[in-house]
Amino acid sequence: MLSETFCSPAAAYFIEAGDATGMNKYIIRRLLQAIPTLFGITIIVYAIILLAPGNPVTILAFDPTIRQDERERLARSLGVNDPFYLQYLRWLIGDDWMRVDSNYDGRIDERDAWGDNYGILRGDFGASFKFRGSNPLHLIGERLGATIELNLAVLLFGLTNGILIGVLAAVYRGRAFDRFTRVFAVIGDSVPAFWLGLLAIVTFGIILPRFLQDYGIGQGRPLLPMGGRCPPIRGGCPPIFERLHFMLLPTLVSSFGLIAVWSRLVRASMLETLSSDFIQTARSKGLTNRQVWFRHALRNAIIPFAVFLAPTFLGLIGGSVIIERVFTWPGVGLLTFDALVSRDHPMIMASVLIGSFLGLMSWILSDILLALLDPRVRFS
Amino acid sequence: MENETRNKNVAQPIGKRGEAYQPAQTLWRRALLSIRHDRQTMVALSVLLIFALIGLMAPLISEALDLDPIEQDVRNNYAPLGTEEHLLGTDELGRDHFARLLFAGQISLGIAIASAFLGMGIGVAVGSIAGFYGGVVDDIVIWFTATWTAIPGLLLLIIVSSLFSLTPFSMVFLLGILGWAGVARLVRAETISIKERDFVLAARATGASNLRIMFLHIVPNMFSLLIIILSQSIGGLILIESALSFIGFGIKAPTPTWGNMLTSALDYMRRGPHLMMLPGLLITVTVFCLYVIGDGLRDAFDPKIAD
Repeated sequence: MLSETFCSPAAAYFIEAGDATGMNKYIIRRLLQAIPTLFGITIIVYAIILLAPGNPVTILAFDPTIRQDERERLARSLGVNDPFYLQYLRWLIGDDWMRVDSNYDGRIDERDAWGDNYGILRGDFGASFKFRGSNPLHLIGERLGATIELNLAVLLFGLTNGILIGVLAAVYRGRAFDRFTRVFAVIGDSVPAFWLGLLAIVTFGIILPRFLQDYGIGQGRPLLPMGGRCPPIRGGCPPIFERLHFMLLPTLVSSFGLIAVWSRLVRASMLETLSSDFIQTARSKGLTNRQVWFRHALRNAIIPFAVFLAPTFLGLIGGSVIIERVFTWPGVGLLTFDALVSRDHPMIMASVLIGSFLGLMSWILSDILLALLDPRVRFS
Repeated sequence: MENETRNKNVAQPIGKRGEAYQPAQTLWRRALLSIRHDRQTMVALSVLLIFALIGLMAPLISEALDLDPIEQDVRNNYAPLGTEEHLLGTDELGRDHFARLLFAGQISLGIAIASAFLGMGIGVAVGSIAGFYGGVVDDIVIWFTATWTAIPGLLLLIIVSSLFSLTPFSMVFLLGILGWAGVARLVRAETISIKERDFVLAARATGASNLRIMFLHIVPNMFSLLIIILSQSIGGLILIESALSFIGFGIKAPTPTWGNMLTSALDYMRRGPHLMMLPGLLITVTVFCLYVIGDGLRDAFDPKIAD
């Protein structure tokens, strides 16, 4: 009975009847399909980094006083002159199973030591160039909290408002609210988020305070923080109000597009659902409008949107680089941006692979969610 | 009567002699008619055409007004709106804001349109081959597009554009190369459904080759889908290009684009907040028009979806 609150009656029956094998098979199939995709991602990403001008030697040995033979030694130890497949394999599975040219004599023989790289499959992305020697995964781990905090707020704010607006627009179809929100949705799609961020910063940081100061209110200081995240207090978390204060502008700005997209999608789906027979039945039972809209119509209208969760999530991953740059939000996006500016290859690889892994997982999760909600998918 | 005399030597298409000539109701004619009556789409279309014309004529206009988008005049920077010689003021390096906006429009629109066509070309070729032949080719294409769509596209673009230094031409190439997977998916699905129809069988019976069937019979039947995708992807590409150029990885100064004109906006927002208004506004209006046109085209070509 518990499952009935989460999924459609048909899926609930499927699970309650003890016949979960269909679902399990589906999940296993999707996970197995993900493995070649993951390898494809690693190949594409590695090829891009390798094709890019400027190899690690030029970045690590930027200092002009480093002698040529030292450069060559560095090149050999990094293996940048090896063929692509060898470099890729070493990066993927490490080189601790083979000898590397550790005494730089140009030969690999008994006197050479074993490699010390474990490869990305075992979580070793190498040492960051910029933060000498740090593990990129640790650096990402430190910043992940900030990114999750912001994006969770964006998702929560964006989806609830988008769905609410979509439902109301469908219910009041053709009325002023509907027409207004439809135009708003197209505008929301067309505004570049970074520009909206700049506008918000200028408005709340400079224009409004100056305006208020002219009328003798305030000292012309920014009304809201113009960037950054609130500093931790004594190593712990500051009170929620402080955090929200800093999150307000970035959240509003980056959920703007989300609200636009979701309100339009939900509106279209709701219109279709509202014209079906079971809504008539629900009405004739004497249910209130709100019960019909939200409990009967919305629940069915929302099913196809399990598919849109993944693209939404993917958009957030890429978009956080830009939004975090605009608001100097100290998350993974800003870390990636800094890594890109300083050409920190291990760091770039780590963040793009983790981003892609999360993206892939979100596709799988949204497929599974759809299969749970809509049993027709499983049988096709 | 006039029609009748004009069509004397031509076989009369419909109806009896003396009846007004009625053009055949083809998909295209109906769509054009419906667009012509759709005021929103027409307005959006004309705004866009004006932008495109102004963009094309940017060199002529700036020459006529004796303005240069790249020439710096640092002593005369942050000139306010309405300054003599500089109608829209100057930016942080004293470059004329109006001239930069003109050339930026040319470059931003040009990049978006060219890369949308490139992506569409690759997508149509790959998608129709995969859908038509099926089998191993199809499997490979499906695996590749699935892999491609799993990578967060914007993140990949940011990384590629930061590692390679891009000119407008290589930007077109990059956006086209990275943008075809979605088109290929749609085209593949459409090809699979169209290739079972009778007219394909008829074409085959007359001895048409596979390539001829694919590109002269199947692809023209999804033109309406392609046009809708095109207008929406141009809008999306303008946004993507501007975001990349904004964070400093796309087209780099001194070449102006609407995106990179905002790159240093955070630094100069105290001295010249007016400088960040117009580039963003122009992006928004252009993309808005493209999306409105996309909606209008969808309504025109597929009356089922219109509500």
